[in-house]
Parts: sequence; C-alpha cells; structure tokens
Amino acid sequence: MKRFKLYIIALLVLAVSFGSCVGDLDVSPIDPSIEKPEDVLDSEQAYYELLAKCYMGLATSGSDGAGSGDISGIDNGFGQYIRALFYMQEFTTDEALTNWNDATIQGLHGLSYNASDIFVSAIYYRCMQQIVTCNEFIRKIQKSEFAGSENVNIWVAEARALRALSYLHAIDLFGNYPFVTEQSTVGADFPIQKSRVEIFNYIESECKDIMPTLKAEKTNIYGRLDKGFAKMILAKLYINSEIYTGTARYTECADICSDLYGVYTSLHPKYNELFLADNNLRTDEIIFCVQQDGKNTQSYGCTNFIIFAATGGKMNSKDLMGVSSGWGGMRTTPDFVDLFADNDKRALFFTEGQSKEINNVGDYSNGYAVTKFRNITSTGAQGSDVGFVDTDFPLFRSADAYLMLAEAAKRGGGKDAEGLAAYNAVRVRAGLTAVTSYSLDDIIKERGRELYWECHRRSDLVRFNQYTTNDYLWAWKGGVKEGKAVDAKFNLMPLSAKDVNANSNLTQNPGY
Amino acid sequence: MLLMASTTIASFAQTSPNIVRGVVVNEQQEPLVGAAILQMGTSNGVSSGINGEFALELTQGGRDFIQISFFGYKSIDLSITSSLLQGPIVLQEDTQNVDEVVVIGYGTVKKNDMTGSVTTVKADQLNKGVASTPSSLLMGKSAGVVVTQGSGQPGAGAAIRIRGGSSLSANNDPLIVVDGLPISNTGISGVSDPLSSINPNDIESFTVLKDASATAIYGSRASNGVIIITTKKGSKYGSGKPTFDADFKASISNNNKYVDVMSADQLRATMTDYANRTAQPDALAALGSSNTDWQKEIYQIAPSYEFNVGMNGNAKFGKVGYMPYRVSVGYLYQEGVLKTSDMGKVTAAFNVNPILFDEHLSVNLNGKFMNMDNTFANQDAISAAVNYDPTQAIYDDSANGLGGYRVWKTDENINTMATMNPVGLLANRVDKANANRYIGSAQFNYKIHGFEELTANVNLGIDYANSNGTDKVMQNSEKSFHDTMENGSGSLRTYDQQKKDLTLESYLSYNKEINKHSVSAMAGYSWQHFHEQSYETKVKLSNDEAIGTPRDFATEYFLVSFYGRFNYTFDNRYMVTATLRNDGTSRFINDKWGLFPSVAAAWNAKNESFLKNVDAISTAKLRLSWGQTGQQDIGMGNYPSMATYKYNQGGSNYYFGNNLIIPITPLGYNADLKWETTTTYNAGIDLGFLNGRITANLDYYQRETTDLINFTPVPAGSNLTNALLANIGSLENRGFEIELNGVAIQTKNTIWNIGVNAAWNKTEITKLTLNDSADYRGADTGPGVMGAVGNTIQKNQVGYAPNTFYVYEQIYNTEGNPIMGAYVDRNEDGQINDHDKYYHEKAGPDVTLGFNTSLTWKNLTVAASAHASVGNYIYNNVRSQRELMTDLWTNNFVSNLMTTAPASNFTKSQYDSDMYIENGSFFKIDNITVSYHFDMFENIKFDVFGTIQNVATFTNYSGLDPEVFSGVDQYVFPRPTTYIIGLKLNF
Repeated sequence: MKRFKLYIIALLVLAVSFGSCVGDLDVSPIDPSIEKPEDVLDSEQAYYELLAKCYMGLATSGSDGAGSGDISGIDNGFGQYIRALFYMQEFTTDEALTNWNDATIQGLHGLSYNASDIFVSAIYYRCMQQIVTCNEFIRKIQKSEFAGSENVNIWVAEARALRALSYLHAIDLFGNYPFVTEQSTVGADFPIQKSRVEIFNYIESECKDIMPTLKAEKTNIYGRLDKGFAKMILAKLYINSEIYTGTARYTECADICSDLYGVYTSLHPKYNELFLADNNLRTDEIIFCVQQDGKNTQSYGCTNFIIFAATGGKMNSKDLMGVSSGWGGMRTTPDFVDLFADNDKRALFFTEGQSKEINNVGDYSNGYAVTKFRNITSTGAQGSDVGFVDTDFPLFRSADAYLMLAEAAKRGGGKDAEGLAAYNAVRVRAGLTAVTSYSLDDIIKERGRELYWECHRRSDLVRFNQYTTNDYLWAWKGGVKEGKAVDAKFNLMPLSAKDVNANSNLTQNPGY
Repeated sequence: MLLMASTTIASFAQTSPNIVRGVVVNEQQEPLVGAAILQMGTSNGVSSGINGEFALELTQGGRDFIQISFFGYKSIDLSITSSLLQGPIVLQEDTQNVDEVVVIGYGTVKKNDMTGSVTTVKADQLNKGVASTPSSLLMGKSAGVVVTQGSGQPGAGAAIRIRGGSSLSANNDPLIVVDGLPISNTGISGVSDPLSSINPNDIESFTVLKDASATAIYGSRASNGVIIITTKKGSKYGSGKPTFDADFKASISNNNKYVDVMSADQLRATMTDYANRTAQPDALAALGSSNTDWQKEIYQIAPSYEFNVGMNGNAKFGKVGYMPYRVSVGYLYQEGVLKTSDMGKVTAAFNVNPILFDEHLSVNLNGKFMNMDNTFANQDAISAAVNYDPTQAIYDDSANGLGGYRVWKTDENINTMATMNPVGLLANRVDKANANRYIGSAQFNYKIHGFEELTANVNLGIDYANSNGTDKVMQNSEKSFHDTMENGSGSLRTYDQQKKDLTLESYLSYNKEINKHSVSAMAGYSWQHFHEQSYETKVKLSNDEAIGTPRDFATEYFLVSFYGRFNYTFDNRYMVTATLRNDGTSRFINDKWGLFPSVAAAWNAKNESFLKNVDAISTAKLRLSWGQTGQQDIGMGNYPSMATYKYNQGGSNYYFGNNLIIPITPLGYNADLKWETTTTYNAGIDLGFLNGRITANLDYYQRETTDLINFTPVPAGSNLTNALLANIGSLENRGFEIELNGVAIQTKNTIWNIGVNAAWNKTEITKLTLNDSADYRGADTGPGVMGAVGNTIQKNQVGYAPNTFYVYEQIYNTEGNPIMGAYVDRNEDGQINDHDKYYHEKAGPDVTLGFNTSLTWKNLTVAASAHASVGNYIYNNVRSQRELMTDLWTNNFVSNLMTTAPASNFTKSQYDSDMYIENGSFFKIDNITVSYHFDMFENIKFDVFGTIQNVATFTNYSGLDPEVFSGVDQYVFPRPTTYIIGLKLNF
C-alpha cells in the first residue's frame, strides 16, 4: 500500500512536469526584429510606423534591406512596385526596351505576354500588397484606442488614398480585379472579383470621401500625400473614364485639373532638375514623390533601377550618372527619339557609342541611352551613396495635370483657354515656342516628351488607341524590327495565372 | 563479419604461451571452416582452419573463457579447462538464424523479431579511406538510400534521401539519431555538414529505418526515414587492460576534369570570324596575346592527412559492477583542390558505460566534441575561370592592372559588368570560420529491483554548436570595386552563431516471456527545445563604416511527444508491433498536435514445421506494415502560423519630412497550418540460404503524403502576402528495393563477399493547388538559372515528379544542329510562347544501385564499392550559359564560350530549350582499397592500405559530373579523385 502511494505521488509529479512542458508549445517570437501585433501596436507612434510601411511599399521591395521582398514569385529587385509598374508602362512602349533576357522580359516590348508572365504577375501582386497593407493599417488603427483623433483621421485618409492609387493601377492594367477592404479578414476569405466599373466607382467615392480630411496641397510634410494626390487620382480616373467605363467624363477631368492648375501655378523652370538626386526640393511642381535615399531607403527597384539600368556603354557612370556602375540594360527606340525637336531641353539622351537604330535588341549599344534620371544633384554633386540613389520618383507632378487639362479641354471638357495656357506652359519650359492651337495628336506626343519614363506611357497609348494598333508603330513593337500591330486583347494585362488558379472567384481577361 | 575480424584483429601475445586447441564441427560432425574463436575480455582471436581445427594463444589479462562463433550458428562460451575441448566442439545451427540485435527507436530488437524495414550497416562494411564525413560512408550501402556528396570543398556536407523524400517545401532530410539522441540536421555558419562532428572512425554501425513501422515511433520527424548512428563503445567483455587502435592516413587529391571551353587560340580564331562578321573591331582589339588556361590556374593538387587514436577498456569495481569505456581523438587536415581552401578538424569522443548493481543499472555517458577551422576559397573563381578570356595574362603590374592583377576596364574605369580575374578573386577574399560542436547525452537504464521485467530509461541530451567567422574582401580589389555598396572600400563581415538543442526523454519498457508468448511494451515521453541565435555585421575596410545594419537574430521551437510501442510474438513465428505517437509542435499555433499510429506484422515461416528442416533455407520471413508519420520541419522560420510584425532593418527605412521612420511590416501567416502526414504501406520478404551465406531482402512500399506543407500562392488579397506555407497538395511515392548479400567463396584462405542493392522509386505529385485547373502550369521550383535572373527551369506539377523540367522542344536542322529559337509549336496555335513548353524528364533517378565487394586472401584484402543512378536528368546550365555568341563581346569585355558555341552560333540565349536537358545516368566506382594485414610481430599488429577514391565515372552526360543533386548543373567545386595511403595499428 505504501509502495502504491509512492507510485501515485510519482505519477502526480510526472503529470505536473508534463503539463508545464506541454505549455512550452505556446511560444512568442524571441527574434528581436519580430513581435506579435498586439505587442508592437502599443502607441500612436507605432501606428505612424505602420503608416510609413504603407508609403514604403511603393519605395522598396521589402523590410530587410535592398534585396528583401514582401512578395514571392519574382526576384525581389524585379518585383519592386515602381520597377514592376515601369515594366508594364514603359517596356511595352516606344519609350523603353531592354537587352536583358530575364525570363519573359522580351515579351513585354514585343507585346506577347501571357498569364504566366512573372513580370505581369509582379505588378498584379504588388498592387494587392499595397492594398492589404493599407487595409491592415486601417483595420488595426480603427479598432485601437487612438481611433478618432485628428492625426489618426488624417493618417487613415492617407492610407485610403494610397489604397485608391493601387486600385487605380490595378484597373488600369487588369480591368476587373479582386477586391478587398479593411472589412476583410486576414486568411479567411477568397476575395471576390469586382468589375472595372465597380472599382472605378469605389476609387472615386473614396477620393471624394477623404478629400476634406486630407491636408491641403503643399501643407503636408515631404514624403506624405495631400489633397493634390487624391485629385491626381481623380483626374486620371476621369481622363481614362471612357476606356475604363465606356462613359466620358472630360468635364470633371478638366475641372479637377483646373483646380490643380490653380494651386500649382507655375512649373519648375528647369525640367532636368525634376529628376536629380535633390529633386525633393522640387515641391513647386512635384505633387507626390516615392522616395529613395542612398543610405536609408534602398532598393533594386524604383529610381535606383531606372538609373542603374539606364547606365552602360561608354557612360562614365560616376561622373555622369552618380552611380558606381551600370547594369547596361535600358535604351529607347528611334521612333521615340524622333518625337523631339532639336532644341527640346527634355531630350536627355546619351549617344556616344550608341546607334539610334536598333538592329539587335540584345545589344545595349543599339538605341540611344537615356540620362533623364540621375543620382547627381542640381549643383553637380554626387548623391549620398554611389551604390544607391537619392533620386525620388515623381509619381505625380503638375505638368501631367497641365497636359490632362489641355487634353480634357480638347476632348470637350471645357476650360479651353486654360487648357491652351497649360499646354504652352509645358512647351515653353522645354524651350519650345508657344502655339495658338493644338491637336490631340500633339497631346500624345507632348505627353511622351514630357512624361517619358514616369510610368504613364502605356495608359496614354491605350487611351489614344495607339498601343496595339498600327496607328503608331515603333521599333520591335510586336517583336519585329519595323513594328507591327498586335491583338487588341493586349490592351489589358492578363490576371496572374497563379491567382486564377488559387482563387476560383476569378475570371481571366478575354483572350488569355 | 567475425570472420573478417579474426584475420584483422591483432593480439598482444604474452610470454609463456598458454594454448587452447580444438576442432569445431556442426551437428552433422562436418568441420566448420572459418569459425571465430575469441578469448573473452580481449580482442585476441583466431579462426578455425580447413579441418575445423584451431589453436589460440591465450593472452594475460584476458578471461579464462573463449567464445566460438560462426555465422548461422549459435555461439558458445567455454572455459579453457572445459572438457568439451577434448572432443569435437559442436555448434548448433541457429534456427532463429542470427541472434543479431538491431538498434531501433527507443531500444533494440532481435533482428529475427523485426517487423519493419530496417537495414544495418556495420563499420567494417563501410567505405574505407579518407572519409571526412560520416555520410559518405553510407554511399551505396543500402537500397533506397541515396547519398549525394555536396561538392569537393573540404568538409562539405551531403544530401541524404531515403526512398526519394516525401515532402515538397518542407525538409526532406532523414532524422539522424546519434547514440539515442536526435541531432540537428542543419549546419551552422562555417560548417556545411551537420554530421561533421562525428569522426567516421568512431562509428560502429548505421541503422536505416525505412518504413513507417520502424520510423513511426519517431513520429514527428520521421517522414523521411531515420538514420541511427551508433558509435563504438568499450566491450562489456573487455578486460581491465586497455587496448589501443590508431590509424594514420595521407592523401593527395587532384581535379581531373574541366569545362570544355575554348583555348586561347580557338577563341582568337572564333573572335576574328565573329568580330569581322558583326563589324565589331573593338572586340578583336580587346584580345590579348597570352595563353592562359584559367581552370588550371585556380586548382591545385591538394594534400591531406589524418590521425586517429582510440582506447578501449573496461574498468572493474568488484561486486558493484564494471565500466566499459572508449576514448578517442582524431585530427584531420585537408586542403581543397580549389586553391586557398582548407580545413583542420579536431574531434574527440568518449563513451563510458558503467554497469552497476548486478547489471540493474546501466548508464551510458556519451560525449562528442569537434573543433573545425575552415578557410573557404572564393568559389566565384570557378565560374570566372570558365568565363574569363584565355588570351589575357593573369598578372599586369602596369597602370592597366589592379593590385598586380589584369582586370577589365572601360577607359580608366573598372568595368563592373565584366568577369573578374579568377586568380585575383581567390587572392582578394579571405573567408575563415571556426566552429565548435558538443553532442552529449546521459542515458540511465534501470532494471527495477524485484520487478526485472520493467526497465526505466531516462535520456538527457544536448547538442550545442557555435561558430564565428570573418569574411574579408580586400580594399581596392577588383571584387570590391564590383560591389556597388563597397566601390573599392573592401569589406569585413563578421558573424557568430549559436545553436542549442536540448532533449529530455524518459520511457518505461516491459518485457515478459511466458511459454510461447513474448510480450514487450514501451511508453515514453519526450521534450525537445531548439534554440538558435546569430549576429552579423559588415563594415567597410577603408573607414569601418557600417554596410547595412547588423543582423541580430534569434529563434526557437519546441516539440513535446508521448509515445508507446507494443510487441507480441507467438512461438517465434508470428509477430505484431503497434506504435502510437502524439507529437506537439510550437510551430502550429492552432493545430499543435498530430497523432501518428503504425501497425506491423511478420510471419517467420522458417519456424513453421514445413520449413524447419529444410536446410537450404535458413531464413524465410514475411513482413507487412502500415503507418503514419508527420512533418513539421518546414524550413521557413518557426512562427509561420502566428501573426507577427517585423521591425524594418537598415536600408528599409523611410523619411517623413526630416524624420527617419523605422517602419513596421505586417507579415503574412497561416493560422491554420498543421501537420503534414505521410502514410506508408510496406511489404517485405527476408530470405536466407545456406546458413545465411546468401541473404536477400525485398521490400515494396507505397507512400502518400497528404496535407503537404507547400509554399504556395494564396488568393491575392486574402492574406498579408501573396504566397504562404499551407497544407495544400499531396504526393505519392512507390518503390521496390532489393538487397542481396552473399559470401561467394569461403575457404580457409579466401573469403569473397559480394553485396548488391537496387532501388526503384517513383514520385508523383497528385495535388498542388486548391483548384488544379487544366491551364495551370505548375509551381516554379529548383535553383535559379544562371544567366537569366528570375528564371527557373523546373516545375512542380500535378501528375509529374517533383522538379520536372519545363522546356521548349528544340528543332534541329538536317545536320543535327539546333536552330536558334526554333521550337515545336506544341499547342499548334501558330505562335511560340510559354504555352508551348512541355514537361520533360525530372531531376530524381528512377533506379539507384549500390555494389560492394571484398576479397580476402590470407592477409591481403581488396575491397571496392560503386554506385549507380539511372534515369536522373540534368539541366546543363554551364553549357546553356556559355553558348551565346553575342557574349563573346558585350559590355566591353571578352568572354570565353564552350567549344560547341561556334557550331550552334546562337545570337539569342536558348535557356529554355530541351537540348540542355541531358540524361545524367551514371555508374561510379567510388573507391578501391588494397590492404595487407601484418601479424608477424607479437606486440603489435598493423594493416597497410592504399585507396583510390572517386575512381571513375561512366556516363553520357557532357558536363563535369552527373551527380547533381538539384538536377541543375551550375559551377560546382569539383569532387576530386583522391589517392590515399594509410596505416592502421592495434596494440
């Protein structure tokens, strides 16, 4: 009996020790760089840091230095938001092409992409990454003790504006797109697909809804958005409304651009200074910049990619471009070069050792190189680091609003006099003479000259019906040297095949 | 095995010889030739001669007993004064065949009672020679166990796969258990081989557990099989006087195969033609006048030497008990064939096994220690040597050079897109690491007094490793200028890392035999904690300015398990085993526990009346098993199921106005993550003939892995990132294995052993995504393709093996040369795009084979081993990257190409063509050893041997080496051929 008691005690001791050991399975991260959300989000400052992530999603590829990535399925550098957008908006057009051979990259300029294309998938997922990050911020802060303060209301409005921007990119590229808001639960739902029109309406209502809360133009601190940002989203929506929804809304476009024209009354005098290492000073014209910083905001995408990839051949990379070396990858087509008059100050090409004609796409020396973006300041100094650039990416600038104003006016949106004035302001700054009248064809050419390599071109060419047709051919369009028209289905990018396979709610775009 | 031992083990003969003589016969009074006669308590023995006679000189210090044993017979122990010695000594046939004991999870089992699929490889069956890592010992030894040596780098690890692996994203390494302690199968910085802390000379045996009946007791970590390593211990029968063994080996290694790129003269001719044709005079002008074979310049004939010594003994404590022990130390120094690489390694081990209180308490104290110094060569030199222009000189002291080396420049600037000088690459980087590892365990085995059927076992173990290293790139070196962050500043990266795994296990086992019934049961509990931390910084050498932010990392996870096993044997004819294990892991927050059962049955037909008296058949056993095992070793962090935020690191910060904000990033997570489960069916037959002279083991298995932990795209917008680990998909594995071992010749002077094994395996993915729609092309997998950033060449796709190649079907002209860009329009839509690619062969083999043989004639032994692989395919990335003519001159530097390039004449890269998928089937002679045993001296016996390792490879593969684990052949540190001489002493 005594022995029996001993066994019981032994068993109890064992049971207690097992219990505590089983409890070991409930862990919290011990990695100093990782914490549970409830442990991190304990102050208003923490939410400010989360808001910074919503912005930074446009600027870097990940959270762990230049080579890191928030999304999978593509090399982290290639998959950075602006770089992925650049591939869609520029590589597919007369403005840029590459000699690289990475995966299907040649299919972009050749307009022969398909649903498995990793570059198309990259921006498909990048837009959504921005949307879910903003959703997370809005969801978390609205449930927090800090909800409702004046600061927090502005932050939420800013996150909603950033989300609207990515939805704008999404419907511009893909048309119908999966739709999630802060109401969605992480890990629970298969997002439904909403039509381009539904998302158009959502973006419009969001922008209008947050407009009163956002800070007035030029009153927020550098790096953060203001009313001008939301107005640019609306302007882009309206100018493309006929493409997006089938209904023209040029009057609303002209009105909102006129509004911006009234705030941004003049352009920065020197065009090239808008794209230099100290372009953070150009708030007279730039409405919103995605920042890069040679020391603190580094990526292999954004302007870092644009500058490095443009550098090559006989360029002196340090003295001319402000970077330690080049990736020797990007040039432009002869057709684009031909858009420029001889005295156009915006023709920032590098021609030494480069031929204008492109006989071999795979040879960097075929085609003029572009030196528009550089890591050199307006005083001629190098950026803070030759390995990463300081040059910010001008996502929205008033010259674009000027040209949209001119275009909307020409398309019947009213404000004709203002439109002409805005158009001439752009021309005169470029060193060209003012005109008394202009055509829509002048506008698309002017947009090319003024806004090249700023991620507008594909959308513009689609709007002018020049993207897939033979109205405008450029070298190697459609994969042939003289250029050729392609199937109109390419006006829309295919949804990522990966996502169509993962989410049964999705319907692929026609033709893919 | 004992036969072998008798010819190689030496004795320490004393003066005044005391000789025991006798004759060994079987029950039919026929003499037994080659029976082993061993003086107990010593390693002193002889074998019986042609008439079964023997004469054993007894040594002092040994016991007055001899043990007589012979394969297939019951061994007997006799006093040297026994009257039995006067007449013929009759050995009875062992109807249970061998009483061989096999180490399994939490205990041992008589081989005869085994119900699972288990292979044991003993030390003397292992590959001899300079094996700096235990895994290479196992190559070709067991059917279905494929060991692929990583590279020729000193101390490189190996990939081990048992039955092809059952996971996709998760770890496919088998669980490795050393002396009862599961050890970490991941390396530590500076040590690529997790097994390197075990000196191959200390290994007594490997036991490979293959089917679920055998592995399920290890539950959570056993889906990919288990390898149990047992190290040498002092003998329970050993005497108080210690014995010593020592060996010394010296070797040289030589790289004897090179990538077939153009010589300087070939390149000049090719470039002249190309530059003229394409009007690029600059290209022609860039050529130099030297003749440099870069691949010869970076390799060397590499020496290595090794020294090991061990001491065995048995300390006696009178009535209290006794304590067998073994202590060993070893030192290995090895240079790599790639210049500037070397490794020095000290290992030490002890094994103390006090057996106390009338053999009631058995304690096993085990310690293994390793210290390793590695100097890693800059392996970028390997690809650079293939690519570099052979018309250029190595050195250039003029202003055109850099630090004395010839470099590519554009005007006066260093051309950072150019290939770097291979010799300069080796010289200008110094990458060193020092690592320590301690593996220790203390096992207490207590047979309860008064209730001896019950044994309590407690096992405490620790596996601790730390390493630190410095990786320096010289200031103003070409490599440093090529780094955009450094821009010539040079850099110094320093790191340290610690890993600590703790294990606590305790179990009770019960054994009872009543008449024909034999029952055993075991129940236990285990707790394991895995902890890791590391710190890394990088600074510029020029001014100590930090490059990036220091990395401070720590992580941990826990496993807690309850397990039990029940065995029942009736009349040595019918056996049943059932196991059950419940595992909890901290990695799956909401679904921690997985329950893994197994059942197995065996029928020992030999013990049935109808076979009992059939002499020709010595073993006949049928085994059947079913079981489930789990997988949670996901290899992607320890918190994948938990919502976490990450504090952004340096370079990922953002300015709001003038304030630099350190943003926080919400990470994706899958709260529903749970155990991946593998269900295995196994059927096996064990046969033995002629008293076990010939044995055959056949196994058929079928495995299905469900809830596959798969890194897979999630619906966009449904989570905080676009791809996560999720339990989506399933995988099937089928295979057949056969192992044949035989003694072809067994006479007084000659023994010839032959072992052959073969395994056929087929793996197929049966589900991969939530909706496996017809137009889904599968998930990209495998290494990135060199030369095309972001590309992979392999897919995981439903209906195919993992790592199946996804390529275009090349079209060839009438001369048989590929036509650039001409591919078969497989979907016949009139255009060639991604949709015309097809699934073409896979990386894994269909059949693997192993061969081992040893022939002993008197004191001379010749042994050889080989292995073969059939049906494994390789993407020859070296060839696909080095066949593009436009690469001869691009970005203002010259590159060398394959000699086949001018014929192909490609001006566009053809990375995705199936012409680069080659059959990698091979037959490799791994080693040949000749050894001679010197036994003429009384005080000391020794063996002298010579070995050639990596003797020859027979293959049609055009690349350097067809043994490419990933199936994508890139620039590897080549595995050299090694010539070894050695001396082995026993005294």
